[in-house]
Formats: sequence, C-alpha cells, structure tokens
Amino acid sequence: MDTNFQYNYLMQFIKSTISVFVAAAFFFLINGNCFGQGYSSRIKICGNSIDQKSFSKSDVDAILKGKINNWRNGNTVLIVLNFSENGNAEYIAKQVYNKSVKGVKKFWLGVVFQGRTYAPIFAEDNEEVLRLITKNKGAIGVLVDYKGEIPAEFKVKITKSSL
Amino acid sequence: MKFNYLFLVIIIFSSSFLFSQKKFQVKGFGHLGYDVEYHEDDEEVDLDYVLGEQSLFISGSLAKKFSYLGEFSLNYDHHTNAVRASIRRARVKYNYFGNHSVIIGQMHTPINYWNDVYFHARIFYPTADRPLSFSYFIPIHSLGIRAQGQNIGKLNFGYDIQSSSGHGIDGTNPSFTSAMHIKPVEGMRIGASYYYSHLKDVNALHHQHSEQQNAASNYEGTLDYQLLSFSFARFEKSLEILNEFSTAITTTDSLGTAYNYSNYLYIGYNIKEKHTPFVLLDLLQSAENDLFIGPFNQLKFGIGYKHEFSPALNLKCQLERYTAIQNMSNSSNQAPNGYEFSIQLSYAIY
Repeated sequence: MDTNFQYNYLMQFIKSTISVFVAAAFFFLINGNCFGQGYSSRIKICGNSIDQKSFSKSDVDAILKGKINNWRNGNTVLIVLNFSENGNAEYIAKQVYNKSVKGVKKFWLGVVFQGRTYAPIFAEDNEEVLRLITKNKGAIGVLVDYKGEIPAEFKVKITKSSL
Repeated sequence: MKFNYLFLVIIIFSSSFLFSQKKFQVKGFGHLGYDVEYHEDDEEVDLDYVLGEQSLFISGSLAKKFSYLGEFSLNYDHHTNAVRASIRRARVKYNYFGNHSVIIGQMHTPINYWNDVYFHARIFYPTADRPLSFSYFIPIHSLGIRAQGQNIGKLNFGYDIQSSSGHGIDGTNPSFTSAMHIKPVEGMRIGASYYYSHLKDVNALHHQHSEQQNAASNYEGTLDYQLLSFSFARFEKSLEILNEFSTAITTTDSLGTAYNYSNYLYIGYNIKEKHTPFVLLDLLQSAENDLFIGPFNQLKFGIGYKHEFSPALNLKCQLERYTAIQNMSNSSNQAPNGYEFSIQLSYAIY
C-alpha cells in the first residue's frame, strides 16, 4: 500500500470527522444551556474579607463555580455551602449550579482533582456556614432560609438580580 | 525512578495532621479490575485480576497566592511483579493576577482534554483505557515552568504556555507547549495545542507511562517532534462526547518528515446520572518513514457500560475489538488482533 494512498485516505477521514464535530459544537452552542436569571429570595450570600460588599449575579456564579481562586486582596477563595440533607442541598444545587446534588459533587470532584481550585466545604446548616465564614478570611458562603441577622461585616449584596 | 516508600507512609500518617491545619487537603483515588483477553493471532486467552494505580493527592495553600499540588502513586507492574512508586505531579502555583498564574514543577502536559482533565484518575475516564495515542504520541508528564490562564471572559478562555523537559522528563529533551481552549457552555470544552520537542537520541528514550510501553524505534539520531492536537468534549448532559485528534509530525535527516495520526471518539448517553452505555472508536496510524514509533497502525472499537454508584465510585464494563486498520497495513509492526473484556472499579477518596 503506497504512502500517498494512506495519506489521502486519512486526510479524507479527518476532514469528514472534523466537520461533524465542528457542526456538533455549533449545534450545542446555539442550543445553549444558560442558568436562570437570578437566585430566589431564600438564598443569601455572605463573605469575610472578599474584596467587595456587592457583586453582580454573574460574578457570584463564577466565584461559586470555582472560576476564581484568589481575591484581589490575596486571600484564597473558600466556598462554604449549606448542603444539609433537609432539602437545602437540592435547592442550592438547582439554584446555584443548575445541577442535581450528585451533579454538584461530581463537578467539584473533577475540578478539585484537576488542581484548578480548592474543594468547597459542605456545611450541615446555616450556623455552621456562618461559623466557617467568621473563622476564614476569603470565605464566601451560601445560606438557605436564614432567619437571623448576618453580621454587617459579612453581608454581601447582589446587584442586577432578584436576590 | 527509585523511590523511598517511607516517604509515602509519612504522607499517609501526616495527612490527618495536615488536614487538621486546614491548610492542606489530602485525597486519593485508585482502581481495581478484571480483564479477559483473547489473542486471535496465537489463539490464547488471558485472564487477569488487575491491581490498578493507587494515588494520593495533596493540595494546599503555601502563602498568599501560592499553592501546592502533589500526586503520588503506587502502581503494580505486571511484567516485573513489582510495585513502582511515582511522583505524578508536584507543582507550586503562583496566582499573580486574576485568573493568570505561573506554575513550576512536574505536571501533566496540557496537550489535550484527557491529559489536562483526567490525569491518572480512572474515576473520570469515560472508557476503561486511555486513547491509543497515549501509548505512542502523548508526552504525559513534563517538568518545567508554565504560564496559565483560565476562565477568562464570557467564553471561559484558557491558555497554557510551557517550557519543559520533553518525552523522557529527564531534562535532556527540552520542549515547548502552547495550548488554548474555550468553554462556551457548561460542560463543553473545545481546545487545540501545539507541542515541540527536539529529541537527541530516540532510542534512549523511555516511555513516560507505566503500563503501556512505547514501541520506540531503533533509530539513534536526532528527531524533531511536533504534535498538533484538537479536543472536543461535552459532558454534564445526557449525550456525552469526547473526541481527541492528534497529528504527530516527526522530522529526521534520514527519512524526512513523517505524518502520523490518531483519533479517539467516545459517545455515551447518561441516564439519570447513573447508567451510561457508550461506544468507542480509536485509531492510530504512523507513516512508513516515521522513526519515532516506526510504521504502525491500529484500530480499536467497542461498547461498554458505566454504572455510577456515587460521584466517587463507578464500575465500567467494556468489550473491545483491536486489530490493524484494514487496507492500511504497514510493512512491519503489525498490530495484534484480538478481543478484550474488562471490568473496572474506580474510586476516589474525597
């Protein structure tokens, strides 16, 4: 079998394969799968020494998905989620990550082992979230149905969203 | 690489202390398996229990904007009946601005999606084995310095520019890597990369990967090695797709430039985040005048099923057929023919 024939055969195969995948990529692109426009009023965000007191919804989304490792002040981003089994885990998974609880854990498993960011802390309740926020500079937390008063220094305001 | 097992033991026993400091995170992963292989050429059947790679993973903060990541593994070598210890990753990262960092140390070469995202953890592999190209083309590890950016802009653009040691990770073969990718929507990543290495003595190279030895040629001269890769990955939805395409271009004074190709395709359908039936197609062909792996071609295709007990535990069953690509047989290095059925239990300690 001569080399030219092999080369042409392969090039034809590659061209056809690539076109299929480029087409598929664009299909998925236009198909889109955007998240919802805002969190519900059940969710509150708090943080300790995290650069700003207010963030846009898209900024918080990016932070809570591990896309930012360090704050501008040098503190390491530590994500703390109220992931208790009384329904809060499901709620946060859907509202923040648009995934199931299993999907969120799988997502973090992959991200952490890639070494791209640190693992979040899955807290048992809102009080534990606040305790961890208080103890760790750079921590950002998600509370669900919290009825108490968040200390002023930890309050985070979300702009351009329904929070 | 000679390795002091005591070092690993110290890491294991010190892990609880490190963890309690909340400065470090210690995790692990590994796999076990069972293979049934039918070698068509000599009509023999092999049955093997597989003690897979067992790894420790450590990450933590060293100082403001400085972090460490280490991955150490123990691997049972079926050929020598010995356990081999390896440092897979050991790197220090300095996050100097926003999502831009400088990384120094040993890391996975950011050649394609598989090597950049899955590394050695079978728990993440969509199929039981790596693509064929990992046995022949892919410089899995590299030791050097890297500029990295990730999640930049709306398309989540990422880049890696790296100067490192090449295929042998022994400092003798300097290499350069440039890679970029975008993640336009959740779960999708499209990327491309270019890798260049000047190999001083091909014959002296030892392939970097443990269980699949490279068919290095007997050529003893210098060789320019270029690798172009294109990846498309789509996960986190029902229809999962991963395509890894590589072109390895080798140039020697003796036989000129040779073009080698490989393409791996995985398509799976995830049902209720638990059941994933899948198909795979993997082919590789090197040219007659290639002096890196020699003339060779192989085709692998198969079907399989992955069952996820949890994000940290899954079971894969896979049946595959491997053979030479029809009508493309090289004059030498004929690929073996056969069937393989494998069961693989993968886990992560998280």
